[in-house]
Amino acid sequence: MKKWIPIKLIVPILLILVLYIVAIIIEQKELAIDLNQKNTAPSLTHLFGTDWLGRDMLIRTWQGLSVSLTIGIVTAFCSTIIALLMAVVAGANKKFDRIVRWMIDLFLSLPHLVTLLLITFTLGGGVKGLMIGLIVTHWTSLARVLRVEVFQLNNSEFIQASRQFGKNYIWIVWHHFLPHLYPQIIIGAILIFPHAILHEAAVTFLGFGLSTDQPAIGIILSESMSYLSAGYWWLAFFPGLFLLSITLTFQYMGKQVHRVMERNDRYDSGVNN
Amino acid sequence: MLTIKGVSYHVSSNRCLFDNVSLKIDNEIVGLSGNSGIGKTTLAKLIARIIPLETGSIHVEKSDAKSNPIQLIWQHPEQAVNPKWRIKRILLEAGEIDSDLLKKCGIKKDWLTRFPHQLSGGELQRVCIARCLISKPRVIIADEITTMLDGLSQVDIWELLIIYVKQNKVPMLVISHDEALLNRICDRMINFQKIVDLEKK
Ligand SMILES: Nc1ncnc2c1ncn2[C@@H]1O[C@H](COP(=O)(O)OP(=O)(O)O)[C@@H](O)[C@H]1O
Ligand SMILES: [Mg+2]
Repeated sequence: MKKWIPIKLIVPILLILVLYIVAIIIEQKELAIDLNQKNTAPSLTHLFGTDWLGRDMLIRTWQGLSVSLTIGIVTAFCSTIIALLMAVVAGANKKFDRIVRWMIDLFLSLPHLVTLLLITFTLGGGVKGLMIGLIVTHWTSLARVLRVEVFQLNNSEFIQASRQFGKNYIWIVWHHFLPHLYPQIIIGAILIFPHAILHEAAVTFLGFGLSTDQPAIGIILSESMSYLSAGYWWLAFFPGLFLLSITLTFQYMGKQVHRVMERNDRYDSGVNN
Repeated sequence: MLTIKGVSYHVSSNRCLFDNVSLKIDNEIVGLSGNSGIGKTTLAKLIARIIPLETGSIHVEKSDAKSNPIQLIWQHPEQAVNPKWRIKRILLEAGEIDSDLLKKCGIKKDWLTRFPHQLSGGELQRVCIARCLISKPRVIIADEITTMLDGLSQVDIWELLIIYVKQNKVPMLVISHDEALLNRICDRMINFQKIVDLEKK
């Protein structure tokens, strides 16, 4: 039984990896201000055009991507951990389950962006505030999925048997639950990613997130708004397109991972034996 | 020895499955018969403490093992084992593997590295029985354990279980809707219907 990774999954992973590595490298680079070249439309020398200070928009966008991706990774990781912890706590006993369910319902009933804005604003904005806001608002949907999974596992006979052999809950979580949950955990984490990036850009765009000296895409978009009426469409168009492409790439990656895992699962359960 | 006193179970607040059931099992094989849906499995789970007791008490000789001294063997072996684990790991969950015991249960060496779906129902039920015996139970409850199996596997499985419980003086409660089967293997029979009716009068 060979578990190959299909090209459809390798391509988006490589794409994002390369984008990210290049972004980290060029992040350090101070952008030349060239006032003779300000607000030029996209051309061969400046593929994305230049801004009001004559800075190359391709480089600026790419640099902004590094901030977005970093925030996306941290948010996805932390939210996933919280979601898993919530699900595991809920599975420990009925009282904890009620508390967790209440918290999930609470966060799901509040409008996502409003909660995010409120938390970020309360914490005084900046990378830290934004990140905490993002993490606090992005664990809920995965937690809901995992809670149901844990509930079903808890009621399955092989878990009841495990308890009969004197195994405690932590042992059961580690040896039975995690190997069962990991496909959902990985896919969940990948799908939190684009959400987090878009919300980061949205909050920053509205002026509550990152400070203006950060080269984030949200900042670029909000700055470019005042120039749109002057007909400098490329200031918003290309960064926006870039952001959208990254988001879609992650969605696609999530779908491909899901496919691979389903296939491996089919092998494991012996349908193809 | 297993003593059960005054055990009841309510499916909902106004529907009682059975009330005030008492049983006593010495070193013998006792059959519990009754139609489907009457509550046999529920009683078995209550005795094994898989569902918490509402009323009454259950007494059994204490054991020093970590496992529950009352062990249940389930009707569907494929649901009673983790499908992602190899047989060896499944057996190890109950305690140390004793190759002599495996031989008595008819478990072949090369099964150990397989996954549950790579064994037949009868073979997997043997694994579940071996796992149960590894945990050194003081009481065994067998809930319809051969209902899903063919005749030949049935005979083999009962033979090995009967030899084990007789040699080790372990009381066993055999649950089945099949009275002919119970008649063949049990020292004594209890009709669950009668217990329930008696209590309802
Ligand atoms: N948790 C529960 N909720 C609702 N009904 C239940 C529950 N547990 C058992 N029952 C009902 O109790 C009855 C007895 O089930 P069971 O003990 O499996 O019977 P048996 O093993 O004798 O066939 C069934 O009608 C079943 O639907
Ligand atoms: Mg039953």
